[in-house]
Formats: sequence, structure tokens, C-alpha cells
Amino acid sequence: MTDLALGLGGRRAPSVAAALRRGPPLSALAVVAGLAMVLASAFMPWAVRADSGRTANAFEANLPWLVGGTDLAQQSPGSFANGWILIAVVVIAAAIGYPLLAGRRMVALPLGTIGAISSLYIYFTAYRFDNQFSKIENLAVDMGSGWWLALVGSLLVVAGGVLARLGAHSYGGSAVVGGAVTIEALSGSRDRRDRESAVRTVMLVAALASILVSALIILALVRDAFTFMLNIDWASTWTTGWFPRRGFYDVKTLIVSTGLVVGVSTLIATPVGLGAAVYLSEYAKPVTRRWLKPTLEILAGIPSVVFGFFALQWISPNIIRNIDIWFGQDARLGNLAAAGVGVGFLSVPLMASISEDAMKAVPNSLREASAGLGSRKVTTTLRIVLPAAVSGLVAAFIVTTSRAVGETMVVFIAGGGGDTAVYTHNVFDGSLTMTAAMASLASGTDSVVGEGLTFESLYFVGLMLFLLTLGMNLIADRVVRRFQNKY
Amino acid sequence: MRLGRVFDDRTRKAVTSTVYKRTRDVKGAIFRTLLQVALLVALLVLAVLLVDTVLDGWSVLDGRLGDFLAGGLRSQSGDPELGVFQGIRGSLWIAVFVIVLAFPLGIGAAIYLEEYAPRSRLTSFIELNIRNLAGVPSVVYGLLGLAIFVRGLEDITGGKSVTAAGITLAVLVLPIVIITSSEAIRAVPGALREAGYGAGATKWEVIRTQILPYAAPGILTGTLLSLSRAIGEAAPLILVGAVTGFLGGQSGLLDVTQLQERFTAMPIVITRWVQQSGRDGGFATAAAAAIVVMLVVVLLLNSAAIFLRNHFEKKR
Repeated sequence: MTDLALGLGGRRAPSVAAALRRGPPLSALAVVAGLAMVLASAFMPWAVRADSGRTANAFEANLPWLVGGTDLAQQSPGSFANGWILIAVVVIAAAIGYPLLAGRRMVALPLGTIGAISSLYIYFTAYRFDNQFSKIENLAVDMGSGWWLALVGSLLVVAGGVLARLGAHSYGGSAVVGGAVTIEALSGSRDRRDRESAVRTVMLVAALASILVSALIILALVRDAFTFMLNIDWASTWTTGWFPRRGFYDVKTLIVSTGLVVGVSTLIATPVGLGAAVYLSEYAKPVTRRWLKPTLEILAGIPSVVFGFFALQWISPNIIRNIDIWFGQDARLGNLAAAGVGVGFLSVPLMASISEDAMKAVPNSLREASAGLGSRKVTTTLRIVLPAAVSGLVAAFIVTTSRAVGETMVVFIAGGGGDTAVYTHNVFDGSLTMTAAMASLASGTDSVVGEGLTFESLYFVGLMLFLLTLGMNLIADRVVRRFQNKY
Repeated sequence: MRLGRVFDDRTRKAVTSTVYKRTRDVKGAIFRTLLQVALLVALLVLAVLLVDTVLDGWSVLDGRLGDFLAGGLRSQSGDPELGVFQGIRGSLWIAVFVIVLAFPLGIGAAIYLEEYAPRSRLTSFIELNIRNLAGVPSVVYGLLGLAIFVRGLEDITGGKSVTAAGITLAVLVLPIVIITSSEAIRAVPGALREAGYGAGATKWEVIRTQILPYAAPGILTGTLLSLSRAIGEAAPLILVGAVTGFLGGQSGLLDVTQLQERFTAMPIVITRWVQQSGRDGGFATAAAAAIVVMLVVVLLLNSAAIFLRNHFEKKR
């Protein structure tokens, strides 16, 4: 009521749509950017000693009482109580402060924290130089670029707080225009609105995190893969085998064996998965379905390491070797065929569940029309349901194949490749797929080191794998979108 | 049977069989059998896998389960102190990281996408991006972890540590959490929202008091599934540098100082033992026993998730 009285003669209030559209973005952006700068500053020099020019960054500043260490000379940089705890304090304080106190103590909180922390940083950065408490006063320390960046970042956080505060006020006070009740009079207390915009911002940041992940994946892959591509002698990527530690990176070895494994797995996953899906969707009674579906989901939940063990210890000796004897060969225990069969069974639940969804999306009226014209169940299924669901089935096939290409552990364990592999197109030989090559590069020795570009070759293979699966997933996504809109 | 007088034999048979549905639908029967065979193959594989693994590991599980759970990585399979304690410890911490990082971020992102996001190009880009992230092979996440969390942020994570591994796996399951939570939130009836708004609640109040409680079982299902996925995932851990050989140090299960130290995890222990089984057959038994230990946890999580979902689906 007071709002109504105060609002007499106020300015024109915005429409509902405009009020909703207004939102908090600018203030939120300022806070996020400021926090990012504070974080980034941690990696830059925070303090520079005037006499020797030596620098120290945030990580080199210790906080002894946080860990309870008293013998300060023994505190080494890189120990648990490094300055990053302080950085974390700023971030957490701002993250808690923003939604809870948006527009209230919002301004004071980061300001106070950051002020305190800035001084602490300088203090302890200086402290690190001499490990002597008494010498701090005599030491001339200049602020490094990191300190300045942190300062600008903190100011931005503060500015964000101010903006949020202003935003909450910008159209308050005018409740009634020409006697009509306006949206302000009805929009409740400022606190509620502030909390509302703060929550929205936090959720937006969470959603944006997924984009950050993608960006980091691409950054990580591209950087080292480019080093590889710029420095590699391209002749060494087309030789007789994959010997990364000796400088032979035969790409076709990896691609052909990946193709063999995926081929075998497709031969298993497609008929079994599709068959199971058709039965579940078209034939199974509800009671049967209620038991079969969870069982298939259990199969889907079994980790790939377990399938690797199964492929090596059971599939290979009991199935693959018996088949191989027909061909007059004697396969090793680990071979591409066993890995392919393992990957195939691993993919069955995926194939089945996507295909079943596709068939479920076919409207019942089609089935009824078909039955009404006198067709049998088998005819309805084969001539009506499957063609109607074909785009979904194609998507299921592509997604399953893409999963098989990216499957690592089964092939790493049961594929029969060591650290190296010679080119082969015999499915009963052991070899390395793209994923297995990456896994063996990363295990094998303690760290990935070797001749020249060994480490970078890991990223080169990773980039190939990423682009391949990304392409397949994008195509599948397109196909799925199309069939979703069909009915 | 008056029919017999009017029509000839063949016609009579055709008519009665049509009326009484006694046609032999050979094609249909074959098709149906084929489908059942496909399903049976899938179930049979599951059964053989479970039975074979339990039988393989039985001598360890039956004989020395207590020592096996308390022991560590050893170079000889006959070593009485061989066991999976270090693996359990690593997997436990990885689960903690997934719960602390991936769950709030994922659920928050799902809430934004379903409740707040305007129909804009940015929104559809985020959605496409999440779907694609879900399809990125896990080994590529390992490369991300190696480049960013192990090497880039070495000062924070301590290099090849359980911290780096935990963050990597949290990032790995993030898209799964987002997608399943989104589905759960989308399934909340619109009437619930409208009633909330009608009663004067703000968007967040509606989400907190109406939407989240209603979607909770669905969200919980998704988070349980992603947790079980993270526990069973091995490929990224190899890239991030999980220890496969000897791992020193005897820190306890919940000791915080190990966060920046070298680590191992259940799937890595299994991988290592399977690879060693060619040289020392006893490791195959140990690997099978370790698989049973891991499967108990993973399958419990999965069954709980499936049960939850079916239970609440039926109720509504």
C-alpha cells in the first residue's frame, strides 16, 4: 500500500515483458570477468624484489598457520598450503556472497575480502624471499603484473555488485500510473527479486561451464597436435607400423585395426541390439518387458574394463580360437577379433535402447491401420514400423559405431597390442587401435617421454579420434532431430 | 457341419482356418524366434560374464576376502598382502569429486536450460554442445585431464594426483548429469508451474518448492548412473597417470594429504592385473575377484537407479 501511495505521479513503468527481459547479465558478467582475472593473476608474478629482480607468484606465498607449520624454512613451494587457498577464498566468498547477498552486502564483502587478501599476498610473497620474519620491513618489494591484474579483477567484482544494486533500483518507486496498478506494485519485495536474478546468474554460469569444457578439450588437443603436425616428418606417418618411441607413427596401422574392431563389433551389436529392440517394442508383453528392460540396463552398466577381462579370458579362448582353427591359424590370446566381439556386446544395450526409442516414436495408428488391412504382425513390423523408424535406427547405428570407435579399455586389454604394433589387416592378429595406442602410450613407462614427438603424437591421435567421433555424433544428431519432428 | 455340403474341401479348410486363426504363420514364427534369439544372446552374455567372473575369482573371494580388501598392489600374485585397498581408496575419492563438482554444476545447468533459458541461439548452442560432449570418447577426456589438470594446473592438483583424476571424471560425467536432470525436469507437469506462479511465487521459489521435489527421483536416477559410470571408467585415468605398478605410502581411506599424491583406482588395478595374467596366472584370479568387488558397487548403484525410476514412473 505504501508503494501505491508513493508511486502516485511516478514515471511510466516498464511492461511485464521488458521487466523480465531486463535480467541481471551486465552485473553478473562483471563479477565473472573479475573472478577470472583474479584466478588468472595467480599464475603471474605477484611481487618483484627491488634489489635482485626475483619474482614470486601467488603459489609461492605460504600461509604457515593454515597448515600449522612452524619451521618456516622447511615450507616448500608446492606444498598443500600454497597461496591458491587464498584465491579459493576469494572465489568462494564471491560465489556465496553473490546469490545470498545480491544487492545487499554484495559490495562490501568482496571488497573487504580482496583488500585483505591483496595485502596478505604481498606480505607473504615478500616473506617467501627470505624466510625470515624480521627482515620483511627491510625488504623492498614491488607489485608484479599479477597483483595489478588481481586488483583490476577485484574492482570489477565490486563494480558488478554495484551494478546489481543499481539494477534492483532502476525502476522501483513508481507503482501507479494514472491510477492503474503496475507491475512494480505487484512484484513483491526487492529481496525476492534480487535473489531471483542472482539464482538465475548462478544457473547460467553452471550452464556455461559445459562450453568451457568444450573449449578446454579443443585447446588441449589442438595445441599439442599442432606441434606434432608442424614438426613431424610426414613420411614417418606412412610406414610399416606404430612405433611411437622410435619415431615411426604409421597412421594406417591404427586406422585399419580400428576399422577391423568396429567392423566386428557392428556385426554383433546391430543384429543383436536391433533384434532385442524390435522384440521389446513390438512383441514383448508388458510383464516380460518389465523384467527384460532393467536386465538390459544392467548389461549397459557393466564397466568396459570388465568386458575387456571377459573378452580376453572367455571370448578369446572359447570362441575366437575355435573359429580361427577353421582358417588353419593359431591366434594369440589377445587379438582384434576378441576385442571386437567384446566391444560388440558392450554396444548391444546402447543400440537396443536408441532403436527402441525410435520405434516407440512411431504412432500406434500406423500399426492399427496396417493390422486393419489384414497384415500379420511380422508384416506390420517389417513393412510399416521399421521403415517409419528408419532415421532413428540409422542414428542408433551411427551412435553405436561412434561409441565403438572411441571404446578404449576392451581393445587395450584384449586387442593384443603392446607398446608397438606392426601393420596388419588380419582380424585374428593382435594390433593397436587409435584408442589402445593412446592408452599404451600413456601407461607403459611412468610418464610419456621418448624420442622427440612421442608425447605430441598422443594428442595427434586424440585429435583424429575427436574429429571422427564428433563428425559421426553431429550426423546422428541431425538425423535424430529430423525423425523427432516427423510425427 | 453344413459347410461341408455346400463347399468343396479346400474352401472349407481355408474358411475354418481363417475363422479359427489356425493359419500357420511360418514367416512370423521364424521372425519372432529370431528376435527372441537376439534377446537371449544378450542375456546369455550377461549371465556367462557374471558367472565366469565369479567362478574365476572364487578362490580369492572365498579364501581371503578380508585380506584382499585390505591389501595393496604387489608384484607377485602369491603375495598374501596382494589386495585392492589402494584401488578402493582412489575410487572413493574420485566419487567424492564427482559428487561435489559434477552434481551441483550439472543440476544447475539443467535447471537453467529447462526453466530460465530463453529461446536464443546461445541456448541451442549450449544444448548442442552438451549433446556432443556426451559423445566424446572417454579417452579424449583423459587427454583434457593430462593437458589441463595434470600439466596446466600442476601447482593446484599436484600433477598426476587423485585431484586431477577426480576433476577429469567429474567433467566426463557432467553432460550425463545435465541430460538426465533436464529430462527429469522436463517431465514435471506444466500445471505445477502455473499453479505456483498463480499463487505469486517467483521462478526460483517455484523451482525450489515444486519442480525440484517432483523431479528429485529422476535427477537422483541420473546422478546414480553417472556415479557408477565414473567409478567404472578406466581410460581417462590411464591418461591422467594412475599408478599401475607399485604404489607406496600407507595413508588411510580418508586422509586428505593424499589428494595431491600419486593414486590408483579399482578399474586401473583390474586392468593391470589382467595384463599381468599372461606372465603370472594368479593375477587372473585376483583380477576376477577385484571385478566382483567393483561390480557389487556399480551394479548396486545401477539397480538402485533403475528401481527408483520404475517405482516413481509407476506411481505417477
